[in-house]
Amino acid sequence: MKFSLKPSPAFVRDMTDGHSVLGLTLSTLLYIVCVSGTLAVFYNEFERWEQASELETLEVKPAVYATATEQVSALASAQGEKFNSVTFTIPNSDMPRLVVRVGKIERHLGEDGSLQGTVFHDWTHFLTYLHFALNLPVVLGVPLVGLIGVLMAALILSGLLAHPKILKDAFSFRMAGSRRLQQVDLHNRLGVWAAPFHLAIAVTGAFIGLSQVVAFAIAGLFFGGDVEKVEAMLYREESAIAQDAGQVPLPDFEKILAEMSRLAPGHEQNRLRIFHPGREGQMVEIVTRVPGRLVWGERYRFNAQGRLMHKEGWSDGEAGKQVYASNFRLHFGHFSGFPVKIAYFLLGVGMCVLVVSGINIWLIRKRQRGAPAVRLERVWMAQVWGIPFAIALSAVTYLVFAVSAVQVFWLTTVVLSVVAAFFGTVAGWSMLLRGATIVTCLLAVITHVSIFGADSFVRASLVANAVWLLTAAGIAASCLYTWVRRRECNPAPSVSGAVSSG
Amino acid sequence: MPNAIYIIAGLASLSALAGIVTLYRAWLHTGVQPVRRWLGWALVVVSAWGWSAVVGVEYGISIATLIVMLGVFGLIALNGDWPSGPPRQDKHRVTTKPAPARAANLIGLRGIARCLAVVILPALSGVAAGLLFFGVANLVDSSRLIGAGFVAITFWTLAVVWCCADRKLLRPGAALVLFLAASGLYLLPAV
Repeated sequence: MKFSLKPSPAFVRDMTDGHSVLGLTLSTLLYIVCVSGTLAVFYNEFERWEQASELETLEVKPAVYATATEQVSALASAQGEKFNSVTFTIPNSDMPRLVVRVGKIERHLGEDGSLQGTVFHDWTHFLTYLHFALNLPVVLGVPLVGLIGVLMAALILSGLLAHPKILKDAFSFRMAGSRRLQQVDLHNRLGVWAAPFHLAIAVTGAFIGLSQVVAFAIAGLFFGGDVEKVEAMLYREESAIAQDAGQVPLPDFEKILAEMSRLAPGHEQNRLRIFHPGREGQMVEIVTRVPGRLVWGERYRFNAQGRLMHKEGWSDGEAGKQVYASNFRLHFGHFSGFPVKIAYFLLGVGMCVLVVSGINIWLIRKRQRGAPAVRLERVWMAQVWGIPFAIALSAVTYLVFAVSAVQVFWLTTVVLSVVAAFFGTVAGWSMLLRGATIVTCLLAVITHVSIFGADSFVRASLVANAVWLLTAAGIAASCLYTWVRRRECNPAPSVSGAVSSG
Repeated sequence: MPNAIYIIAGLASLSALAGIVTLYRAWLHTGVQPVRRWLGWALVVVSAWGWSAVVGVEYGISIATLIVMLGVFGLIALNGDWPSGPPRQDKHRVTTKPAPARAANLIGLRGIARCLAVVILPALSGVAAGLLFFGVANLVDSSRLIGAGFVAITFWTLAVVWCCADRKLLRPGAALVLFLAASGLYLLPAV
């Protein structure tokens, strides 16, 4: 009996069929997750873009934390907000703004620790929430997106297994070929060469989304349903104090921050949390970013006198903790600075093109077989360009009218899909929505400039506005390419609804 | 020293790009080009090593991989066979006869069964595999927990691929049900 590693034609056919079924099932949801995730790489920049004129600094005097804690505690008490901790964002390179949060209260702080305006990041929260939960309730949405991550990993695996000529075609890019060949080459080159990135994103995304499901299962089977016992394996539980704990002065922030700098020189501090402020047994927690490591950070806890009580061990503790803490930066592309964010953005765009070309191949194949899915082609095209359009539109309407971005996005997407099912041509929808997206991206920048003036072109706002402008420029380039190709080929535009015209 | 870091990072990036070009040239020339191919991959590895020396192993490998991926796409776009003149038409095949109603129903039922199998069985089996790992692995708690998460996802993914690709749905279906039963029998007495 001869043994061969070369896959048989039947195996390849079965894998291709399985790959198609999975891809078609996921299509729109996967595309939404990919588009929103690509933009969400810049979520820090978008948060700062939403309130472009806020004070930005990296210098904070320790006394500021005491002043702010007193003021925000008084405000929370006045508003009837029950709390047992006060959390600060320590200004850092990703978010150089001093922010304090107690329950639902979130305020910017002045240089002296005085409470300033309320923090509004509603549009960015819509974008990130769309990415990790499809705007569904978290309990449902997060595992659903986790499931999409698993299916995406399955798609990558079945795609690689269904590709017997992976080496022979390694650099083939036959854009001069037939429409199907163009889409196949685009799909395969993106799929094969970017497979490490796609797998990293799919696996870490699946892990983040489904970790709670696995934790529930483990808790149910091994710990009598006590999920907190499972969580305690990764996170130290919050400290509890006696009900009648007396009032004491706030912690010695100067001593704590000095001790923190001594313990971890070179670490960027990005979060400070005071548990039970002003009560006996109060405690301060500081999270730092560990240089050269993918872990989200390291967590230190100090008593009120500035003595280290506990270090979480995410950066140098048990292997499981380190692996867990490394998932997030790898998924978000938040390591090694801005160039990596740009690389993640570009590869994210590639992932969107991969999804689109995959469905296009299936639609072209159907057309070739003499059974074109004309309605589906129109709906798909309306979604391909309609989803970026809806996201850009939600940004504009949020900036101008403070309208709910969730409603604008989903209403636009659903209406476009329904209308495209009955009217127009594929080419028509493609050009119309590409044009609309260009205009809306430009409007987002114009609106921002009209609200924030010169602040629109500095720091994070410059980055966020550049993302809008470059997106518009990229889509304009694609329109120009389509137009030039049409002029070269045929002066009379096709109305047959060619899928590749998208 | 900062200058040395920039020089090493620059050389590592050049090494990645040189590796891509070498791999491309190996691919361009007909016949087997093992030396060029291995040299290409070696240069990519050198790039990862160089970046690791500058920014640490975790960042280094990630950055070198990103450079290779983006570099390949740049090269492919530059050397791609871009169209000029009228487009080539897709071949249209003769329409096959529509399937008889009974056969179409059968295909539909199979499709539903397959979808259910793909959604439910791999999910249950994946979670069972994770639980099995948590129950069996002789590691510290946090490592058992995270290991269980990754085992669950890996098993889940492989099961989805199998359920989607196997023409005889009964095969993966039966195997996964058997695995579920076996893991249940193993785990339940231990709890």
